[in-house]
Amino acid sequence: MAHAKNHDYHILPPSIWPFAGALSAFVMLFGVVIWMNHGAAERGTPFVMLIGLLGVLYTMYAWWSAVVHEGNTGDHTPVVRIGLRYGFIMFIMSEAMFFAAWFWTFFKHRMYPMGPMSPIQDGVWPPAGIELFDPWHLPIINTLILLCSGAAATWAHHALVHDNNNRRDIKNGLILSVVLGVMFTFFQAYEYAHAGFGFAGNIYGASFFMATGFHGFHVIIGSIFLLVCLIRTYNGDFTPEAHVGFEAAAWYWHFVDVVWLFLFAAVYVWGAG
Amino acid sequence: MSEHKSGSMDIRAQEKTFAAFIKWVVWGTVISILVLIFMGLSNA
Repeated sequence: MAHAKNHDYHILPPSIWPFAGALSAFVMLFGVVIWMNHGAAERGTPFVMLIGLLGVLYTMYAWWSAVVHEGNTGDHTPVVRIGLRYGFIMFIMSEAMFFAAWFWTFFKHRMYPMGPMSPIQDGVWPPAGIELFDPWHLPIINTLILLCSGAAATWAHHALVHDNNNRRDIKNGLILSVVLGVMFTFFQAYEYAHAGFGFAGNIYGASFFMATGFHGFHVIIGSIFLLVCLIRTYNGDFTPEAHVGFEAAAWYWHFVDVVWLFLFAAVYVWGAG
Repeated sequence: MSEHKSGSMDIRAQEKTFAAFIKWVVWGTVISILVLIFMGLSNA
């Protein structure tokens, strides 16, 4: 029995999804290039990009479905769950560095605004003609919405781990957190629609929309992540001992919460000058 | 050789390493934030 398994690690069988993901991402990138760089044609077409995007989305669905299947068939033993946690924590750390870059550019321009006399004399902040948001109107409401959503996710997690696997409270907590996450997105879209500055032509708008826009994108991803957890809860997945997917969604959601708190404090309050 | 029972492996060493990893992540994060605050204040 030279090949008998004598450990708890999960030896993955060959999978098509890494290759399919790489190919789809390449097609998507190639599609973006020919969409935006269309040569003599009057305008480019997003057709190739959309094919690549569909491939990426299908790969994400299929690959994660395979991981969920592994979890449901007992492949995620305690030592495998430790490995999955390492992976997700490092993913969140890379996300934190991604946002650090956007904060960095905002801080630079807030502290040392460019002007005609730069670097001898700093320019003005906020740039002339820019009408800023009042942080104590919609942004503070959105802050409370996101914090309540994080609390609801924690409620669901507590119900799973410490409340004897209380399925009703897990579902209620997750439903509430998803609904609040969607509300945040709608309010953010409303705020964007009423912005007194554009994306292009000024450093404030460029920094503001890149930072808050990428955060909004993460809120949408986190909402989908929690929604998947809700569907899995209805399907009977997760136990108080084994629920790495749930844990990852909760960590991600709290990370998105923390980034928003920094955005609110730095961009909306301090950034107002 | 008896058949391996899934979940029966002794993982105390892996758990200890993971706990140390978390500890370093937390301290690394705290120190990084403090350094950034210091840099911000000393340049203000």
